[in-house]
Amino acid sequence: MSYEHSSSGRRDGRKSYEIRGFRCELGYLERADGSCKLEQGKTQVVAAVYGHLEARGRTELPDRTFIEVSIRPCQGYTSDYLRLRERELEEVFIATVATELQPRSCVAIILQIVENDGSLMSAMINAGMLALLSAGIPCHWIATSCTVSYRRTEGFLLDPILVEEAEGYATAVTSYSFQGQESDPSQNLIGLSFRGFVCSQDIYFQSLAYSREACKKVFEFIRLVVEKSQALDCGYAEP
Amino acid sequence: MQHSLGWDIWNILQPKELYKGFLQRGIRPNGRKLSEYRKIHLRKGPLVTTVDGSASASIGQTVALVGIQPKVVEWKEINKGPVKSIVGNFCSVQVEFPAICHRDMRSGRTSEEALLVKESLENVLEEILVGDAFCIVADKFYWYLQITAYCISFDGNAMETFLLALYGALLDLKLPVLHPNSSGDRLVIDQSQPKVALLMKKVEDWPWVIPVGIFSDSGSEHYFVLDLSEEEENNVSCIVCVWNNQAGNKVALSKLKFGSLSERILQQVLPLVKAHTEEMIARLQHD
Repeated sequence: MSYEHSSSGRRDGRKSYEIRGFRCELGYLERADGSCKLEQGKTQVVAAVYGHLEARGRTELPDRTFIEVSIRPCQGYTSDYLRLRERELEEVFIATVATELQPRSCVAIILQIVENDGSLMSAMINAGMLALLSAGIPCHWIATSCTVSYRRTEGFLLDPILVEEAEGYATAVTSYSFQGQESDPSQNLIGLSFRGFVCSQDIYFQSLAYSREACKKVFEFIRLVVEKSQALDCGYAEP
Repeated sequence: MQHSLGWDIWNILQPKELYKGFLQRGIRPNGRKLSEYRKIHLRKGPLVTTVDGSASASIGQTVALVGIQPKVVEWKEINKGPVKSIVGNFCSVQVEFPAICHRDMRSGRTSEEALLVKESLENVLEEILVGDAFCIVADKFYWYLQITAYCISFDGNAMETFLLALYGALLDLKLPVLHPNSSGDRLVIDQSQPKVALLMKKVEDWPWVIPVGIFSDSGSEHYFVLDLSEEEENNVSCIVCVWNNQAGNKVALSKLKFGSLSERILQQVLPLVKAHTEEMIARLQHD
């Protein structure tokens, strides 16, 4: 890739194409069927999954599972802005969950924002995915996400913090799906949302390529977390 | 004796299969080609007497009405937060899809379609409006635009219709010339001068949106369909909203619905919409 990254460091010392470190705790909530607390730098999200539940009324679909996503902010009520983000998350998770396996059922995904230090949508998608895996909900693939912030002088930055997002003139959230080590994520772009406008198509597609590599790192992290949690479960099952 | 089911029954039983059969022949069920638009109509002018700028736009059966009402606000009412944005400080957008526009719409809580259109219009306004144009008396009085958009009838492609109506209303908007009075605490309309248009960026730089429906046939074949009707929006696997201007330096892509995309398809979509973008910007300049 021929993109020249900025030589001047970011506030936290990262390069423009580097993402922050991840910390995750599966099974964070005891009462939920699946849950996860994800820390992406200082951004913290707690995700809970309940399902499969019995569907009633408008949630009963004859041919597939109904997926419901709720976002709870740090304080106050869910604003119109978060309602739109709920819709975007629903589209990603409806594509991810194998909804055709259990029709007339419902899966509820609740995302609680604990702290927002940028790249919140990506953190919610990654946390929701981990919570679905924790609950054992069958999925077609693993969904991962990365945020890109576009800057006038430095091109673009991956996984921006809150200040970097505000300083940028446009922000994109991309979600890729992975079905294994050998899968080609460039064929599986399952989520794409935008705020603002990018000045060039070349910069836009370059940023997609970089965010795809970042999503691959997220996939490796998720795989590692799931493998370790399975190893722990097997350890407890042995006499 | 053999009986074949009519196409309307197939449309109920297997709508996507019926739609695929038409797309494979390069045509849609209503006879339009895949890249052909329905009739586009824009009417600018004093549609409503209570606003200073208004326009009505229609693409096929989808009709949107936008009215802009300017008000004068004092500097202390302007939010001087860390990020100085135009929307929120100098204008507000309200979009409604009332029950009259479609059988599935309900009065009361703002629908998601309305929120989606509202967010898109706000992004556009941030791009085309100039913050200094709202100043009447520095640090004292500023213009504040209340933009209200209604959907009169909904039959798909709401975003492009609303954008056309918004642009028409902004081009129609005329503001009176105001001067402070002798004591400086009030503004007086200068009746001797004609109303002036709001200063904005050049029309050639305004971004345009084209929602492109992508119908995938088990991952091998893809059909790109422009100007989707409401029924077609339910049949396609995903919709990509392509934003661009004439110069090609205001690019944004967003995806709706559940189907997956590939980057190769995204690169195919961009040149597809170039001709229509140029046509719509030219129409705005000459209407």
